[in-house]
Amino acid sequence: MKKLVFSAVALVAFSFASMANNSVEKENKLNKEAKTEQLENKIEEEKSCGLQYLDDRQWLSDMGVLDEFAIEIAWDNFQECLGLD
Amino acid sequence: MKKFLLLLLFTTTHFHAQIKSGEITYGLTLGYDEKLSNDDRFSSIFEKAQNGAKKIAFTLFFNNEVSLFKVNDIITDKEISLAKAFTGGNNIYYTEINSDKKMKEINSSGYGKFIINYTKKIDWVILNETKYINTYLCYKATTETTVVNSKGTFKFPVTAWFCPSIPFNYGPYGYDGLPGLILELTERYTTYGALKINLSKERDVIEKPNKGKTVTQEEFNEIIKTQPTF
Repeated sequence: MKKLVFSAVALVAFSFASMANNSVEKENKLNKEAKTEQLENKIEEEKSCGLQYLDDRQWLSDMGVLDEFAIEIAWDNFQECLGLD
Repeated sequence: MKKFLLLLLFTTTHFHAQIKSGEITYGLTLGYDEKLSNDDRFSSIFEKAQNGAKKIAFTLFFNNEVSLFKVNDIITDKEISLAKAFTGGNNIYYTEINSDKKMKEINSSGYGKFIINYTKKIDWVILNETKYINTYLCYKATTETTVVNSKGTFKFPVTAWFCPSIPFNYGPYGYDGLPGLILELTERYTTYGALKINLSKERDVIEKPNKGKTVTQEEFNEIIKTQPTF
C-alpha cells in the first residue's frame, strides 16, 4: 500500500515537473521568437529610414541646396525617423 | 565711386592704424526661400530652422593676417540643430588676408571630420548705397554664388554691407575681399548681421583649424558621393 501511494505521488510529481518544463520551454521559445521579430522590425525600420535619408538628400539637391548642407538636414531627419533625437 | 572709396579707405586706415585685431558677433536670420518655404516635404522643417536661427550667434575673430568664423557655443535643441544644418553652422571658416585660398573645418554626419582647402575668388560689384550698422557707415556690394551639387549648377545672389572704417577685408562665412569689414551678409536665405563689434589694439593670436583629415573640396565632393556610415 505504501509503495502504491509512493508511486502515485512520484508519478504526479514527475508529471507536474514535466508540464512545468514544457511551459518554460514554450515561454523561452516565444521570447526568442519575439526578440527575433523585434530585431527584424528594427532592421526594416533602419532600412526604411536609410532610404528616406538618401531620398531627402536628392530632394534637397534638386532645390539647389549645397551637398554638405543636404547631408546634415537629411541626417537630422534620419535621426528623427529612428526616434533618436 | 572706386576712387572715392579708395580715398576713404586711405584716410580711415591711417586713422585706425592702431587696430590690430577684433571680434565681431553676428546674429543669424533665415529668410523666405522660394523653393524651401513652399516645398511639401521641407517647408515645416525649414520653418523650425528659421526659429532656431534666432537662438544662435557667430563670432568672426580677426587680426592683420587671418580670420576665423565659427558658431558660439550653445546647448542645442531640435530647432538650433536644423538652423545649423541649413547654414553649415557647425563649420569653422578660416581665411588669410589678400588670398583666395581658404580653409574650413567640417564635421560631416556619417562621413567624419575634414579640413577642406578650397579657393573662392569673389568678384564684388560695389554700389552707390549706404546704411548705418551699429553706428558704422557701410556700403553695399553684391556678387553671385554658385552651388554645384549632384543635381546641377545653381546661382544665388549675395549682398554684403562693408565698412571701410574697419579696414580689414574679412567677413562672415568665408566671404572677404572688400575694402572694409563685412558687417552684414546675405546669401540666398541666410543673413549674418553684426550685433557686437569689439576692436583691439592688441594683436590676438588665431589658431588654424586642425581637427580632421585634410582634403581638397573636389576630394570631399567625391567622398560624400559614397554611402555614409549609419
